[in-house]
This record gives sequence, structure tokens and C-alpha cells, in this order.
Amino acid sequence: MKRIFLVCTMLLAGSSLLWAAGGSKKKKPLPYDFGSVTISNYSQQAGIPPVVFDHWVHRKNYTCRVCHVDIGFGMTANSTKIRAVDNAKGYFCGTCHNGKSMLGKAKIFDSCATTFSREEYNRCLKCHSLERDPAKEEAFFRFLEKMPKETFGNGINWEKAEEIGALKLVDQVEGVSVKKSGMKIQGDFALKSKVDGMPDIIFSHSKHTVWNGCELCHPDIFVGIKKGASKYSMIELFDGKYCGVCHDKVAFPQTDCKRCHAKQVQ
Amino acid sequence: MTTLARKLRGAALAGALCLWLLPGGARGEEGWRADFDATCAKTGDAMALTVQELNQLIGRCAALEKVIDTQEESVRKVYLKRLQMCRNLYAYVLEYKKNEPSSQ
Repeated sequence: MKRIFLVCTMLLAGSSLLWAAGGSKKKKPLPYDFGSVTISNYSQQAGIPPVVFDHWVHRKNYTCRVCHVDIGFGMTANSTKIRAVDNAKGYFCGTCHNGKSMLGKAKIFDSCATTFSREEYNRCLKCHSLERDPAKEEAFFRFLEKMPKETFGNGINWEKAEEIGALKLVDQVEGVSVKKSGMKIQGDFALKSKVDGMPDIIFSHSKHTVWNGCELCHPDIFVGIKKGASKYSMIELFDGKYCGVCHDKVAFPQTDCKRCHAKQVQ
Repeated sequence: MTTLARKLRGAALAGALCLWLLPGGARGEEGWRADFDATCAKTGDAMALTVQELNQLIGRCAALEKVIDTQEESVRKVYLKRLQMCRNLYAYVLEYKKNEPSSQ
């Protein structure tokens, strides 16, 4: 146990040193900010602030797959190059934010317009704003109160939340999502840990495919076809590769070692 | 009454014929979207497909790419990305199947 604690401490210290050496030591985000992405492709040229996208607001209602597979959002900030005209035509944010789509009994507000009046500008600021919004912050903490807790990330155990029925995620958007023929879930498997005393990793396909489908990870993120052939290092993962594409940014941080290194030591 | 019915039937037939003859119009668009849906509906089940089925689906993706390439920018951006994910997964599974010990 002491050994595992020592390895975790070393990993944490090592990753901090790596960031520090890069000259840009990452500040641990506050629970409310964890998963926020700033999107700034064309906003500033249009004279409006960038968009601060809150993942928590969306992931409490939709699976990752809906947005990153069916709607076509990229996996890194600014890679999608969303334009107001795309939204106005009903693509990207405009797929749901069209003033007509419903989420439960609530109508989802309309997104961008290519021309807008002074009154309508307030609608733009719902997303195009870099300033802290106390109302949004309060909404987060009200939501957090009802969710199973977690120490890291934004303090919510999302996996458990879905398991106990606290979240009921939408996985299909009418007229957008492809009606799938079925899902054949691949089995879970263990990955050998490189450090003695550190439990092996249990990778669960079922936990990942329920939110992501198959094509979100294969082959873009995980290209290897033979189990165990690709070697992943924690340095690469902390650098945003492989598991690090989602974990640390939106999904629970990789500093929460025991969530993945979960195999019982014999 | 009979004349009116005949005229209406004639107009309906002419309308249907016009729609059928439209090359890249509304019918064409619906066509490629339905084809896209049918082609990419098997991604969740890709591991259960045979090498032949996977090759066919990859071929359909290549044909769809040509059609999507002619669409307006927003459609192109969204659907080329979606198609790429779907085709790449089929190619990935195909590679896996070809390297499976049982296939050799």
C-alpha cells in the first residue's frame, strides 16, 4: 500500500515537474471550471468574445457520442472551426440550439445569427462570454448537490450517477443520429502496469462504449489492433495522448490512479 | 367531374416525373443521406461483420465521399467528418480481421 502511495506521489510530482519545465504550470481548475473549453476561431474577428463551453452542462443530458460523433464536434478546442452560419443552418451548436428543439419540457435557446439587433446581442452573450457568471456557478453547485461525489475533476462521479439513475442521458437526436443496428460490446481486459506494486489496469469496453460508441476512440485515439502491442506511458497520457484525450480534460483526471489501476493484486 | 379527376391525375403524374428527373435536387439529397445512414448504421456492430461486408461498406463510404464533396460547405464539413470516422472504424476492424489468427 505504501509502495502504491509512493508511486502515485512520484507520478504527481513528475507530472508537475514536466509542466513546470514546459514553462506553463497548469493550475488545477475549480470544480465548476473543470471541462470548460474556450473556443475562439472567428469570434474575435466578429467583435464578440470567444465561447466558453461548459462540458458539465451538456454531459448531464447527452452522451459524448451525440456531440462528438453524430453532430461532428472535434475532440480538441478550436479543431471544428464552427461558424455562425453553420449554426444558423442547423449544424454544430445549431443542431439543438435552434429555438425549437426541446429538452424535456424546456425549449433549447437559439444559437448564433449572422445578423442581430442590440436586443438579440444578449442571446449571443449566453455563450460568447469570458466573464464569470454567478448564476451558472450556482446552477452547477445546485446540480452537484444531487450527484454522487468524487474527489477529483468537478467533484461528480458521472459513472455512478448514471448507474444509480441520477442521470438519464440522451443518445439519439431525431433527424441527426444514425439508427444503429445494435452494439456488440467487446470484453473488458487487463493492461499490465509497468511499475512493481502498482495494480494492473482494468479497461472496461462497456463503460466506454455506452457513452462513446466505437468510432470515437478507434482508430483516431487508439490505433493499435493487437491487445498489448501498443505501449502507453503515463508521460504520454499526461501529455494529452490516448486516455489523456478525455481524461484530465473532461473525464476524471488521471491523477485519480485507483480508478484505472483497479485490478486486485494477487 | 371526370375531366377534373383526369386533369388532377395528369398533374400528379407530371409532378412525380419532374421529381424523378431532378438529378441533384431534393430527391438526390434525401438519397445520399439515407445511404449515409444505412452505411454508418453498423459501426456498433462492426466486429460481427465479415471481411467481405467490411470491404463493401468501405466501398460505399468512398462513393458517398464523392457525393458529399459536392454539397455546400456546412454539410460538407459535418458529413465528411462523420463519414471519415465511420470509414476509418470499418478499415480498422478490417485490418483486425485480416490479422486474426483464425483468418490465416
